[in-house]
Amino acid sequence: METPFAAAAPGQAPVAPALPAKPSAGRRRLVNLGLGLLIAGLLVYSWIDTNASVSEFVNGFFGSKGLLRNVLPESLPPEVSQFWDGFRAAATTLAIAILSIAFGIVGSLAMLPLAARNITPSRPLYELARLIQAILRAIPELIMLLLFNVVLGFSPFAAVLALTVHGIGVKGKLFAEAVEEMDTSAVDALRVAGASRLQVFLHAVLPGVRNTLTALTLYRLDANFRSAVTLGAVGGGGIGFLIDNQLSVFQFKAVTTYMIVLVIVVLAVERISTELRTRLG
Amino acid sequence: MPLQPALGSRSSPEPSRASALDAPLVIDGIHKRFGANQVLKGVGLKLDRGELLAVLGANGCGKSTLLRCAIRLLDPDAGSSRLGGRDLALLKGKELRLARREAAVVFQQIALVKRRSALDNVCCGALGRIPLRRSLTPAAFPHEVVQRATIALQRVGMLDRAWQPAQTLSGGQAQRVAIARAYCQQASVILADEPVSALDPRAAEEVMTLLGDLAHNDGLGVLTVLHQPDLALRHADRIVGMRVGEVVFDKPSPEVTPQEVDALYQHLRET
Ligand SMILES: Nc1ncnc2c1ncn2[C@@H]1O[C@H](COP(=O)(O)OP(=O)(O)OP(=O)(O)O)[C@@H](O)[C@H]1O
Ligand SMILES: [Mg+2]
Repeated sequence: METPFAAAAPGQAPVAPALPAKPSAGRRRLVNLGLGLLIAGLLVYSWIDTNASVSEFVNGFFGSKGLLRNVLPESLPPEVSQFWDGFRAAATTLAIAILSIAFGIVGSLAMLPLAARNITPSRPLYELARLIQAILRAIPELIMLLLFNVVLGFSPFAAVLALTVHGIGVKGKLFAEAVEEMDTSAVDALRVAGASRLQVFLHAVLPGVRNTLTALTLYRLDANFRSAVTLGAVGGGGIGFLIDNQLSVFQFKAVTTYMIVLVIVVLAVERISTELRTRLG
Repeated sequence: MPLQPALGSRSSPEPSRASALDAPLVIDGIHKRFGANQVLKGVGLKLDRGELLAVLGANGCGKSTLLRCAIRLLDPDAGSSRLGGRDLALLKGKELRLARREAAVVFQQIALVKRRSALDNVCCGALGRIPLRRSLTPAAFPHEVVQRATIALQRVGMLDRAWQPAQTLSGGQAQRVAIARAYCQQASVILADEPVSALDPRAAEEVMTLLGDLAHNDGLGVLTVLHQPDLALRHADRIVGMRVGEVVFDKPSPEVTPQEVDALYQHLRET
């Protein structure tokens, strides 16, 4: 700002001026060294704390009781008669994911007018909404399910609630960030035209972010499906539950069938979600 | 195109000064400071019905700040703004919001809601006058609002694009829809901050003609900030020249000399 423009001298090739002195690199180097040591320390600690061992790794995969030599031959060929059961269970899992997404959308939208900094009526309410979302996000879905199991018993609906509550934490934040990043000129325009906060929200904010929110939701759908599979294994029902059951009675061929079904469904959900998102443009 | 001004004419140098109480917008002695930067140093002006008033001034002289103080989007440090006869400084909360409806604002950047039709956008101008339950979705808007929006669209020559999504309109078309929205608000005053800065010369000309038309035929008070002195001289009834937070002249456009206009932008080179 202080330096005036340097006019080019007519008819002369420009001469490179001396660069201003480069800031000293010494500090930078020290910081890098410190970071390197820190990362190395973390890795060593993690290795020790998890009882990591090279020989167990080799045994687990290649030993005489390992996955490849022991479990794999037992698992093939897949149990064809189990395909239908697998798909039925996968449908339940998908239903868990879809319902929890739907509930999660409702919950996230309800918090949205408070949780986005640029439209919130008050700063403390904004902080509170974001804090609630952070807490919901911090508790993993699995722990959430264990809590719901205590009060509701084992059921797919407990899994729906667990995913919903965690999903409000995740989607609530994503939605709020989408609103914070939107162009607010239309929002301001309606506000000065005398529209109330709720009117502004319905007529300028929601239409402005609708596509972004839909994309985020579709993006979360396959994540939710995978989580629903995991929750199934701890009593939530669906295909995760089947896999867990068959594993506990060593029916590896049936497990293979379910795994195949699982991969097919996950890839299909992923594919559909990507396809829909690109359609949104 | 109507050429005969209905009210407040260009030829009379003092358009109804006596009716100060009647003027829809009266700004008086506004001071505003941001930190150490004294942006407005006692600015006053009066906007009459049926008048197109242009405000000229260099970048950063405080024009946008003045508009925002006028409708109390910003609180001035001192001074008052009477909109529709009510002193905005005395109002707050819902009362302020309702009093502000008397002023419709048109922005430089196109402030339409994307992915909504031109018609829906125009209807939104009336949101401040319809109850929440009649405004949950555009389909719930009262019939009168839709009719008024249709009239507004016709007024700005955009009726045939009523169903076009806002983001697909050209800059000039979008600005005309924004003006239709302001018209649909049924305000007595339109405040426009550089409404033509993003438009090509022809679209700018059309928008200025439209604003003049709203003043002269509908009797609205229209105040517009401009960076094009020639447009101001040709379209406005009166011009207010501002320099570093002060009004340096305020007179009918035919009396404004090119030297006076040049002087507004002169200080940039000196400081
Ligand atoms: N919110 C704010 N905080 C601090 N300073 C501000 C703020 N808004 C405006 N200013 C300062 O006030 C001065 C006047 O700004 P303003 O936007 O009113 O100018 P303007 O006349 O509209 O200029 P332009 O022609 O560029 O639009 C500028 O120096 C600007 O930096
Ligand atoms: Mg400005």
